[in-house]
Amino acid sequence: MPNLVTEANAFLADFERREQEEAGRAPGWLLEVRREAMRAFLDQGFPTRRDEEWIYTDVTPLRRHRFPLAPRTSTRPATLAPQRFALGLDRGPRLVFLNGRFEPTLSRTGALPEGTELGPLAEALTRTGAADGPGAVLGTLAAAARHPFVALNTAFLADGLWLRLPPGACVDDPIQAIFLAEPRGEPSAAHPRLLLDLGAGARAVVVERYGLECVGALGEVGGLTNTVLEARLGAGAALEVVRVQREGGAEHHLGFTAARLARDARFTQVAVTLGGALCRHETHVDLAEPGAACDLSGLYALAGREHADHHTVVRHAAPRCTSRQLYKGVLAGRSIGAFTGRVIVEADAQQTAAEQANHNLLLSPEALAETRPQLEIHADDVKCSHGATIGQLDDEALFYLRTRGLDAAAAGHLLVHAFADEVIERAAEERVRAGLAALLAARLDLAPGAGGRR
Amino acid sequence: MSAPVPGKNAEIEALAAKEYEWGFVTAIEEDRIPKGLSEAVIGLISAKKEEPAWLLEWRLKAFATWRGMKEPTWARVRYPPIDYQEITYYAAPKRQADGPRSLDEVDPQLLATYEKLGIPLHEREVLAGVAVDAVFDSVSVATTFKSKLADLGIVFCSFSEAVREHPDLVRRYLGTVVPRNDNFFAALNSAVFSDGSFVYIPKGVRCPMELSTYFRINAANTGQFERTLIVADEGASVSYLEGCTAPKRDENQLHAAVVELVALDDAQIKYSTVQNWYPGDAQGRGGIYNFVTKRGACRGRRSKISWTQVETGSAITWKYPSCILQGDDSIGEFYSVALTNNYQQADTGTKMIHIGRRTRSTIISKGISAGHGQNTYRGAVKVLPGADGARNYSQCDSLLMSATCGAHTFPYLDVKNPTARIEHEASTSRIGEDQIFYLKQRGLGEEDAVNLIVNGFCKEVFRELPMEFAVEAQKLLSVSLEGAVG
Repeated sequence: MPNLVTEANAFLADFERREQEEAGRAPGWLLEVRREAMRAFLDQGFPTRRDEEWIYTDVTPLRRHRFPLAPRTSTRPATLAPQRFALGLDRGPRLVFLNGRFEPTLSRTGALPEGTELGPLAEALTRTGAADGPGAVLGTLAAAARHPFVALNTAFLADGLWLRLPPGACVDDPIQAIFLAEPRGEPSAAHPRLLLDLGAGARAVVVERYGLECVGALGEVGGLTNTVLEARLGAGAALEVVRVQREGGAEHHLGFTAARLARDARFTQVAVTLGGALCRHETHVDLAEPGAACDLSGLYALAGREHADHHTVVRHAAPRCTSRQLYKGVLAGRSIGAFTGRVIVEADAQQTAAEQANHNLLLSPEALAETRPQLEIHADDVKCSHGATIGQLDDEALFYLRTRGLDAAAAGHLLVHAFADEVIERAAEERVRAGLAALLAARLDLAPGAGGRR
Repeated sequence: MSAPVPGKNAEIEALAAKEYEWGFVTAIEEDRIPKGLSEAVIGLISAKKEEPAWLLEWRLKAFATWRGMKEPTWARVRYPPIDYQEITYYAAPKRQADGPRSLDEVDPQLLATYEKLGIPLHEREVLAGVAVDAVFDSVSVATTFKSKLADLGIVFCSFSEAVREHPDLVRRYLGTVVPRNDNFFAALNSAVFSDGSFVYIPKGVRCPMELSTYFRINAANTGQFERTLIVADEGASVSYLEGCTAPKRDENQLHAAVVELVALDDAQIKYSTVQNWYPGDAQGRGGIYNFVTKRGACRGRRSKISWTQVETGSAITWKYPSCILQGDDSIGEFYSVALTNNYQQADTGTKMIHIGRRTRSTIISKGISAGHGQNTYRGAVKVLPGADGARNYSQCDSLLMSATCGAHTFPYLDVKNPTARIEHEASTSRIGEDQIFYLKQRGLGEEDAVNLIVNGFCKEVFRELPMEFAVEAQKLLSVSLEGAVG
């Protein structure tokens, strides 16, 4: 077995080099946060499949290669068109990041409610101290000490999204944060961080988009995107995050989303994972005060040898909170789709309503679905349920469609689309739904085997 | 336990006296071997049981493996570390004469429980440990059964007897379902197993009676490391019941049993368990640790293994009766009711491994938590690539009866075949106040209302039990939940 410490040290060398480069530029408190995180990463090392939380995801590929920080580039590809990643959203704030760095020429913020702070995190961090602005959110929901890749993200913290909405502020148009990997030769890493702080009664929709902008030839080994989002919702605030991941190819993607909800706050997430060599997304929601509600939904459509692992942890810590989860997988080729969802109801959290469902459609004989829906309940006045299914397209439904004149392939497509549509419908914004539907249509039509097996 | 200081405290002395009355007696020195586990101790156990060399070698190999293993920690149970060198691994069966001589000497509380459960009179005596020669007719009952079974070629005897009388059968199947290096507790059991049962049903034979009836009378003193092996040859069928509803006195805190079932072509095995060992007192002190490995292999085509369990006893229950569905068209079933009250902890469930084509499995699990009980369902359904048309349906429901208990569900579903259909459903809720209200206005008392609801909740599982045990199991739930309501 390879030496874990040595492998983690590959990141350490990079960390130290960067620290020297940036000496004097980052504020002292931030340097200390990063150092602490680096220590936490070295302490934890890479998880292995023996670790119960990682039994479905083997991170060996991340241990086998070095992923230095992507080099700072002064030129951007002239062909790069952020509209391609805009889900059809032609107005509203848009921040574009290339290899983890803010790209001002492609970004715009537009008019925002008074008192709103929206912009690149790097800039916001240099302006503020450890206890105000983004510093007050950073690391409070995603703790470096408890997760190796959160630690790694924090250690290499450079840029990302910073959004603060004052109480009652409402941003009508979805805020887009587009993160593009632009590989140049050797595999490299980006560690974007998104910090969202919504005051009481504030409302926003954030579209979090990950993609690959390929100019040159792709290497055999893809790069690494290791992202962390922390969202703090004040009383009665409402936040919707639409997360679209489509680096594809040989890319590795690790994502960690954490949200804490105050009284009567509402958090909605629609996570659409469209593939990469290795994708993992964790969502941790803390329903901390009475009446908070969250709605998590996810869709993973995979083909080839792609692997996607979704984890959710919803903690009901206060009475009268509700949570709803719906994750769906469409698996073709030799792809692997895994889901682990945990609902924890603490002793005080009476009158909890929690439901969770995971449904998987296997479209090829070599695809694999793994699912672990988990309930951990310490209160008694609760209504909790979970359900999981793994199966294939319904023969009778296919037969019915064929009697109506559709050929086998078209009937299959129709059923797969109907299956996937349920997740997309959870997004509130109509333009976003249309954008997701188009994206999904393109993806599913590429997936071989959809209905074509019979 | 330290002896109470003689003197003023009459209550303690009375208690101590009462325990003696129960028959918590230490076996005579000569029948015990020193504490702790070593190759010498295993050699001694094997020698005392007059075992052949191959079995001793098998035990020693298991011991060597066990020494390199770590105690598992993934289950959701908490207990102080066990010192495996503090356990005595062999005690000769207790001498009957040391037990109480008649029911008059037995603790009245125990008798009251038997009464509530409706256990037949002569069985009460056996269960309470009354010396067998004082029990009228039970011996003759057993003997009649035995000759009837022998006529059909059925082998049903203690494990030690099977090793002596049918070594070929034992050797062919022992450890083929639960290998001796399977897990920490299975390896420990393989090294030191005391005794247990062996059943072989020959080709085409339907066992004419529930083996339970016989077993209940003869099950005494199988020890804390029980080993059971049941083989149903082609076309054979058998129903077997282990344990019983009556609380049984037991002085071993750690129980690590292994049960292996083998079903060949068209064979059927139905294995029912009712477990009601000492759960510890209301404050969570004492109680049995029940760490069991149970697994059945459906080797043959169209074979079927069905597990039914009612778990109400033990301080800690850690068991996952599983099925390896190897033969095409084979069927695995798991029906479970697990109840935790006071400070009991249960981490139980099943594993269904679909290997053959068109294999089917059903999982019905009902968990009831009361008091400070922690109840976990942990189950896995695996469909391997060759299992075309595999089908699984799982349903795990939990009923919560107090604000301090916990109910947890951890299913694992791994499917590698697109033609498989897997469904899992789980729900957790408490008894509806409106349900209780309705029953109360129909004239039922609160406790009866709760019993009715709980029994309705468990109906799907009780239906699978042999009839007489289903009746007892229902009563057992009421007894176990006494005082948990209101």
